[in-house]
Amino acid sequence: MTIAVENPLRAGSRLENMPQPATLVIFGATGDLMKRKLVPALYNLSIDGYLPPNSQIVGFARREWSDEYFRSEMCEGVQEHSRRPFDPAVWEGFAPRLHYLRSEFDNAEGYDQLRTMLDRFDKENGTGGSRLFYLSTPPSYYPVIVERLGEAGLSGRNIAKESGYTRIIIEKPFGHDLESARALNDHLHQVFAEEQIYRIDHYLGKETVQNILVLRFANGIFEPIWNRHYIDHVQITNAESIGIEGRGRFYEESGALRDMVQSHILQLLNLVAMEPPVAFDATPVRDEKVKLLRSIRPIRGNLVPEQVVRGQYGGGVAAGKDVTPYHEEENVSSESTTETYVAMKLFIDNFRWQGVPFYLRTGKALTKRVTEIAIQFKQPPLSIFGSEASRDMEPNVLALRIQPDEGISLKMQVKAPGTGIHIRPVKMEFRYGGSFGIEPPEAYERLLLDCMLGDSTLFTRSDEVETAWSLVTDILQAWSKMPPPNFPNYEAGSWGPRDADRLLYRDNREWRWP
Amino acid sequence: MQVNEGTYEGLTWEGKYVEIADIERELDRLWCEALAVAEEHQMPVRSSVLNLVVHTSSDADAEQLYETVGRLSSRHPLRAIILSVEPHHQEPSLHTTMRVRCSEDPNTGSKVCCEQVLVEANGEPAKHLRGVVLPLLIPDLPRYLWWMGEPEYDSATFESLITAADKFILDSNSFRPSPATLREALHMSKVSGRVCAVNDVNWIRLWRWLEAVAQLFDDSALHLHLAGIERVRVEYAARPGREASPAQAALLAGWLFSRLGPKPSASVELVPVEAPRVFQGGVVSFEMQTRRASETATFEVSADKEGEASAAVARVRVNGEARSERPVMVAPRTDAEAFDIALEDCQRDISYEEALEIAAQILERETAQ
Repeated sequence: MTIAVENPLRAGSRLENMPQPATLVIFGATGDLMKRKLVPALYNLSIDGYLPPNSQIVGFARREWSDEYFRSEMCEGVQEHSRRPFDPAVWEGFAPRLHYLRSEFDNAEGYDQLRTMLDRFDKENGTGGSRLFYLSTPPSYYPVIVERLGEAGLSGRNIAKESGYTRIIIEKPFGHDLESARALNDHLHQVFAEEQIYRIDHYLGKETVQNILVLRFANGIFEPIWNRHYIDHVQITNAESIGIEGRGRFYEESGALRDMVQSHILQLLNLVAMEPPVAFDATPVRDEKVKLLRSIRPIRGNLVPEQVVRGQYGGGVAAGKDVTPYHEEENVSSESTTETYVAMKLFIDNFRWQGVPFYLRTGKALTKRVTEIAIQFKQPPLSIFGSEASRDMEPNVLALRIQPDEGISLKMQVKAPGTGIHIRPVKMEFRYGGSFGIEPPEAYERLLLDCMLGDSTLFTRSDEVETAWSLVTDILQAWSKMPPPNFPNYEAGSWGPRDADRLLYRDNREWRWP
Repeated sequence: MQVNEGTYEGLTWEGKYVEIADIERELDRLWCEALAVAEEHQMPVRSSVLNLVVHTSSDADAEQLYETVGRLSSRHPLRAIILSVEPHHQEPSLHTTMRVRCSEDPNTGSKVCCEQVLVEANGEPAKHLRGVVLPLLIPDLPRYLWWMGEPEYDSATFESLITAADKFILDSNSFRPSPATLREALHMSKVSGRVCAVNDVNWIRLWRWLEAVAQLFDDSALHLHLAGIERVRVEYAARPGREASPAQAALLAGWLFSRLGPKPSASVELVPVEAPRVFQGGVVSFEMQTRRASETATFEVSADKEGEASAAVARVRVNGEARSERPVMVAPRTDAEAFDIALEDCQRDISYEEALEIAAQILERETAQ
């Protein structure tokens, strides 16, 4: 934060950065995200003392709810979804800070009422003009909300720093292709400055995702071998065992490429492949991420069928549960060509990664729920132990498990006990749950706190969003020109379409079974 | 993580000598027992990220110590060696008890277990603890020494333990520190030519106050007032009839001046006041008066003495007129949280060391008056 440098009392001090009191306005507060994630996160921040006293929370939405009903719904959300057990005494102090404002998102009067409310909190509660707007609505409402905030004089764009801050958090998706992402950014920039905008991808709030950078840049042993000379290839897997579970309307408009690859998967790729930033601060980290995205070789035209595989699940059993075929889900066309699975091979054209393939896959209704990054190292140039002894020899694999059972494992070769030489692979495993009893904060806790503190390191910048969309849009355009795929092409509960296996077989490699 | 404690206890020795190899062997046996009784899906994981040596006097309650250390170990899996010592006891004895303590994650049922070794030493053995402690430390893991109560810097026990420590933890609120005691803590960072980090949980409890005072100057227009500090007054809680440690108040003032450079003419007052909701020795209010040319200003952070101890108000007045007033959070970390933070890393906290140096000077000046 800028103030950390300017304030002589902060220089060199190890202080607990505490946010200043503020009012959080959550648009779309009657939705699922508020109840499942946001209000439990705010409740836990409050318990930890990170939500300053007298900070206020305003739910802004269209339903005819009262303050009281809003509080009772949020209470239910905390009881069901908070990582800490519900404490009635804590809730008693927290609930009066929740307020509800009913309005259509395009109704200017609602924003006038909001302004009056915010001014009142500034006077009565000492929120000091600091406001955080959170857009938790369907993306189609983003432009109008932003516009109305600007018209109501709530953008805080040219307000002096000592009069508090105004920031806006936007949930993904940030557009549905490159053009719409640019249009959304243009729209936002007409009202808010880029440094006021916090595009949230909750994956970056996960401890294990942040740990990728720590593992790479805080351990001297990895960086020297983290390159084309020692790494054979990298696999990134993000698998869900459940199907779309009733979200047909949303999924028909997005699909796995837009929903997962453009955001989460490219974020993981970025953290595992980016160059070291000069500091763990917003600008250097985001600069390096954009640099990496720009180094990814675009997949266009005829290369798409060679390097990208799409799939859609049919019926089956995944993780012990019957799964309805995708095209039989509610609000899904029986002839839908929406992909629920994507696998692809990418190359990064820079000095570090030239020639190293990155295999990415993500899908619904797969064998199990798992997210991991596996770095497979090259084999030794020669086995001195003879072919019989080396029969079971496998390459070293460093696997970073993001979820579940967060941890790191390293596969290495050892001599099996016995009189002769027989080499067997073993796994050295570190599990977060086993080494740290502490329960990490939920991703939304970390990200909300960072935003209140003005630290945008874990949020996505406009050029990063647009570069990611540019890569994905090339593939979407190629798909639109190809004949319709023969869907469904994988059984629920499997590891995806056969073509995805062939993608690696062609390179004499195979997918891991994570 | 919820802690469902499972204790596997079954080993005590009494006598003058303890075979270290026996301790390790018995620890392994305890682990085997723990594994044998575990459900298949709840196999305990033997894990340690640090060694913690706790020194306490022999009158401390062993069960309470187990409990305190156990709470820490649920967040920082560790091997704890708890030393309960009485070097002047007539009857020499050395008594060792071991426990394996498991914390269970209620979501997954997985158990993380760690070891606690209690060494009760009386008489002569208490003077030779180095030989017991050092072989029990797990190699390649950081070594923390937590000295409960006032450190006995001149004792042979202290000398032998500090030379093996990567970090020395004390609580300056648990005794009334003299300036010399505080200064001595600083010297620990240069023990035997090694770097040993020093940390004071009383300093960690103070962090939110430091943040509240720092926030007063996030407005850069007010920075110039820092050059004209005339008076600083820090109030700290003291129960009637009980002497409270002024250490936290001194550390707050010490931190302020360590950030800004010395202000020889500024007066510093550390004032005990009644504040029933604030812990004994805890800071209750901070007030600073400044004069710069014709401008005077007052900067204040003041807790509610009677009400909620976590709530405070930060006020700035320039030339008698209110410039800002807003609520701030000063709730101190609980003891458990403060110790958790102290165990997070072995790094020196330079801002603490600098604050401590000036805090000692302030206390020296107070004593002289």
